[in-house]
Amino acid sequence: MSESSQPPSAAFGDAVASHTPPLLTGRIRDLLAGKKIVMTGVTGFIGEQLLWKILTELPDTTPSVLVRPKGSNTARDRVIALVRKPIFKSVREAAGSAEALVDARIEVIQGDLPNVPDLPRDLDVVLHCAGDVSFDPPIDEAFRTNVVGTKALMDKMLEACSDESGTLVRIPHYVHVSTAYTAGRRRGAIPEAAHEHTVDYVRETASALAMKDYIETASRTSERLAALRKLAERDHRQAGFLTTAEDTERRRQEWVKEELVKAGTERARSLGWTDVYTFAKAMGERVVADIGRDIRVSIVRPAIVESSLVHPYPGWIEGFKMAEPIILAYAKGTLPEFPASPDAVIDIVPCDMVVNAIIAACATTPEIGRPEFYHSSSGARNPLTFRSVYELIHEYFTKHPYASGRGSAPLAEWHFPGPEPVERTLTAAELALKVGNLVVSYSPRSNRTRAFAAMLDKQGKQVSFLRRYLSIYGEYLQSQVHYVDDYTLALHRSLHPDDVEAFAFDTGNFDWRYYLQDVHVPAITDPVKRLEAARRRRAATSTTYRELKPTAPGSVLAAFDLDGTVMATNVVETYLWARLPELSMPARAREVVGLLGRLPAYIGAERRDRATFLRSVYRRYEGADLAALEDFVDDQMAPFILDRMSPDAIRRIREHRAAGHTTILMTGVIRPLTRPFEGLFDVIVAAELATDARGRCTGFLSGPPMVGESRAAWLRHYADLHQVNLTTSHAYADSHVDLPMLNAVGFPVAVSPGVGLMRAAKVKGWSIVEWPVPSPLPRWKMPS
Amino acid sequence: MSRPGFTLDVDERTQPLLVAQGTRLRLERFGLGTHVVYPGDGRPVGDPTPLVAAALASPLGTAPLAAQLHAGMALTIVIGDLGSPRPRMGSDVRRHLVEQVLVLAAAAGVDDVAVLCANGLAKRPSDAELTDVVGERVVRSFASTGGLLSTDATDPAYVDLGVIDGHEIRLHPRIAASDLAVNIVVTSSWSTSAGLQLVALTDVATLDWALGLETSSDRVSAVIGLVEASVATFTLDAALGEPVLPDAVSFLGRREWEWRVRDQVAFATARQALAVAPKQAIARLFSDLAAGYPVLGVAGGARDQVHASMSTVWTNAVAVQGPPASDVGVVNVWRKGSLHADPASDPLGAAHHAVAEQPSLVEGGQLVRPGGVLVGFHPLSNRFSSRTNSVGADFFAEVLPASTDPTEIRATFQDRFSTDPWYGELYRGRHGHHPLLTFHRWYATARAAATYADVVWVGADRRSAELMGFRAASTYADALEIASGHVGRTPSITVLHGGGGSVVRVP
Repeated sequence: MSESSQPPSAAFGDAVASHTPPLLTGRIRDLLAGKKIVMTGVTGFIGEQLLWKILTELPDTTPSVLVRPKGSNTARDRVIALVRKPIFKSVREAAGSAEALVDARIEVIQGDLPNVPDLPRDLDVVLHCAGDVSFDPPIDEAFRTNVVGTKALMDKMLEACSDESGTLVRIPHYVHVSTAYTAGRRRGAIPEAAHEHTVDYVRETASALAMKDYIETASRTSERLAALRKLAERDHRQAGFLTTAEDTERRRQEWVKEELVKAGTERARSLGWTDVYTFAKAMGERVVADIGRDIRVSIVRPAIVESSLVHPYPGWIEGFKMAEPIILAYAKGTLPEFPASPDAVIDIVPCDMVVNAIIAACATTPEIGRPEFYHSSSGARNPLTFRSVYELIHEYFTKHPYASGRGSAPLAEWHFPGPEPVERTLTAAELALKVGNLVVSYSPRSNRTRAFAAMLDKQGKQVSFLRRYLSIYGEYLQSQVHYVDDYTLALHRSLHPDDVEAFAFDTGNFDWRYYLQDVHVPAITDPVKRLEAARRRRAATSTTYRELKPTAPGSVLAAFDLDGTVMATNVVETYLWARLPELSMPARAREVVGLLGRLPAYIGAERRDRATFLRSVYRRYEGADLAALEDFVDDQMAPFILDRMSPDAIRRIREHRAAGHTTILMTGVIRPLTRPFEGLFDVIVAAELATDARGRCTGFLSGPPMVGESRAAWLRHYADLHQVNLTTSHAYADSHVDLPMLNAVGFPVAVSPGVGLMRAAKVKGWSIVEWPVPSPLPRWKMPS
Repeated sequence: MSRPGFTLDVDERTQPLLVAQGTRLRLERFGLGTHVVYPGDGRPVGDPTPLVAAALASPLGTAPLAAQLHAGMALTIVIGDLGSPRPRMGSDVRRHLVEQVLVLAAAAGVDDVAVLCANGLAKRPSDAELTDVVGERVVRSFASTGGLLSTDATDPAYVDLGVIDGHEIRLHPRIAASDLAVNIVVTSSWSTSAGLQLVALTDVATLDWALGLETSSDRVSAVIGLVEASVATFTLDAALGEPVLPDAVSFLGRREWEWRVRDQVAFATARQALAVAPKQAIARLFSDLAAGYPVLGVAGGARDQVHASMSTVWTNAVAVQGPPASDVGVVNVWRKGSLHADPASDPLGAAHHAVAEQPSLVEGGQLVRPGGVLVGFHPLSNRFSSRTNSVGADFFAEVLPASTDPTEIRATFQDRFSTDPWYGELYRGRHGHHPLLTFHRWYATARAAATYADVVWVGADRRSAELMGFRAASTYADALEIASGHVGRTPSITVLHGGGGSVVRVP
């Protein structure tokens, strides 16, 4: 590291102890022997290691774990699954099996926060480390877990320790895991004591919970719904009403969540906290002080908890925390600059130190009515600045590149220009993405457009990741606080010499270079690399375009869209082929000019609603002789149509037929034009031109054109009538309009898709294939 | 006066020579001592009418046609092989032949006349294609009466003719019911003949038996014999000389050192245009290309005598004295390149033309010694018409990756492909080729390719070349580099200039 290590705490000189926390008076295993610890949050990151520590180091202590059932898994199932994890190997083997271990050592209480069941009456310690880990939960959720949940747990604890009249008969020790960041936007040295503020937690909690209903109601006003529907229509109008409705509702739920998050953030900031997470946690501490006024209370406040330094093994971590996304983004070369202050401290503390400090706190006997606070943090005595992190990480990835070959990326040089320039770049990037997407939406469909759109999506993902990250953690990147950890240190120093190896938690005496380069970064990059490799393998093998296996005839169907999927043409073009030859030369010219004049209107109709577009084009067939049209198609147009078919499409259709599948052509073009395909498809669904008594086309259709959702509905009905299994069926289409049809089957494939469908297909994990159509004749060559 | 073809020995003064690579044109410099075989000049086209009249009036080995016609008979005029010659004839000589036969038939009071296109396994012609060959007048008058027919070898109405070696031979019903078949052919290569045209009138099983994997001249002759035994035939054959190309592309048939400024400009224009024009436009350009062919002679009468006479006439006219069998043969593909008019569209067709057809137009020996190397110029792009050659695309995607060996392909794939309903529908109703044609052509290509140590394609799609068991090289020099492993550093090289079509006389 380049900094000389002059920790913030050094400037204050030696402390004159105004208060001495309760210290350890023996070995921890003896202090906690015969005691029962009721624990929450054992399925979480810290909780899991706490349980491991109790099982391995405290043989005479009984953990009694409160676990929520999940799906069909009972609390016991979940605990058994938990102790099957690798870190429990030695205790599990000693007990014989996971079940045996649970039966012998653990008491499982099935329950939930805030609906806490009765707690065992022989409990000695309640260790509450469950909590929301998200920094930006909706305000109601933040309060429900951190305030209402804590209160419910403590109430039940008091109930378990009281007689029928409510008089406390035993004094429990309540240990609360909070966060160092409950200090909020305070600056400088934060003491290990209750934060001074006058916020009324009862009132805040009531308002936070009420906010949910308020915003739900607001989301259902006509103005709001209309605005959301307009947004949904912009993307999905062509696909139909139901698709649009589905998207509108999704957007509404998203909006509610966003508003609740915003409400939380703003309320937190209006009272001096950075975000709703730390605000709710701070309110939780108030609940603890309030309800725990007659018992023993310890509150442990960890800072940013990251992978373990020593136990259960160096680098043990579950899930992703605050620093990992940035480290990985840096490793992948997607973070050119970072808006942190180079000298701001990132207060990381290894998980095992937090766990050890919590267990040590459990073994103390605090004074009744005087809560003890412990900061489990590194910033005061062993500060790590963002610049040091950058240098260490840079050094690490220079030596051990994240990826090699094609996947490798140059490592960025960070200059820490401060938040504004980064913000400006980000805003510019967002604007550029917007413009790019607008261009894409008007570009003709082509490989190049798709590649460009894919690039936009990739960069958009990076930009929105950074935007989200900054909105959540932005303030922490400028942090100007340090958390005094004198009491924690005093507690550490009171460890029995035999306990030091297993329970040490002095954050002042380890080396960041070792921690980051040898422990933490390898611990988070290696599993991600494995995960990504597995995902790539999965993506390569699990596709919706797969080899066809023979099935019972008629039990599976394969639906194909025509225009752009099987054949390179469009309805305007086919109209001209079909209509012009029967007209005289001047009439042809009139027809073409008339059509060109209407073209902008048609394009507009196509963008709004495909069915309207088809209707307006088919109006032009008015007066055409249907029988003559059919003969003309058979004699003259068939070669033209067949020449424009994609060989890959034909091969695929034939493979389906060979496999015994029912092949279905679903198209908006008029029936006569599908005659050349009769040999390929079992069923052809096309638009029917209505005729008058003389067999002349009226220009209207005899039924609505089969587009968008009607295709899905048709398929479902057909499947019902013919006992076809849609989940094993296939569909092929090229355009966003066909989304409902693709959604209806188990194996949808996007064929040379437009950008809209390409995006949808990527999200849904559908295969995207290219079926080029080598037209042997120029487009303008007409059948004659 | 037109000059005969000759063989140029490349020396220091020889300029780069024209090479056609599918639809691309370029000038390639050949090594010293390379033998370049030039075809003869095209001759101006005369009026073939007197020749035709003479052939009908004084036939070889039979009575004059007029004497064989009488009222109440059923007469069928058979035409065939609409795909050759390429470029197609600007004014097809078959039109004169058909029309004069019709005049005689009308004079004799024959009412029951039909024109039957014996396309065999090749695609059934559309009315437009027939119009190009026999003229609008014939098409108009026959189409309305149903007298304009083309063979559908899969038609169950074919009638039994007899049995050869336990194999049942069946014949087109119209021919079987005819009193006389006038068999009209043009001789412009060795792959077309009056005899083969009679074979093309039989059913698909016979066509496969006679022309498929186990093809032999004995089988072909036996089938011809059986057809001739069941119906009286009169053969009318016109031999064609070297084509005269339209002015815009006349440089293609001209010797490079004789290019005038006009030719230079035309070449540069064509080269640039072909490089930038869309594929479809190029395809159309080539399909529209028509040339004038001089009629060297017309003969009528008994098939064997007419054939002997016309092939001699044709061979003598287009033969070029070439070098002895060389180590490396170089061919380019543009003229008769494929089943389609588009020379770039079909790698199987290009391979067949370059490997099986061109080098076989040799008299007295071989163009390339056994174990030599053949170098072809073609992009071999994997493009097939979904209609006319849908089977080609599947042959490329399914058959060739599994095997290139004819015997194995015959055993594993041929039956499935030939009975496939979709190919059948395309052949019967949509002017597509019968799937067997692709198989037969591949058998011929593979058989011919086996005589070479390697077949190397310049500027070809590597995947296509590999699939067919060939090699791809980016330049001519690289192709020779690849060949050097078999033929050494100083091979003798023979180049067929201008896309073949001449008969090379090898000492």
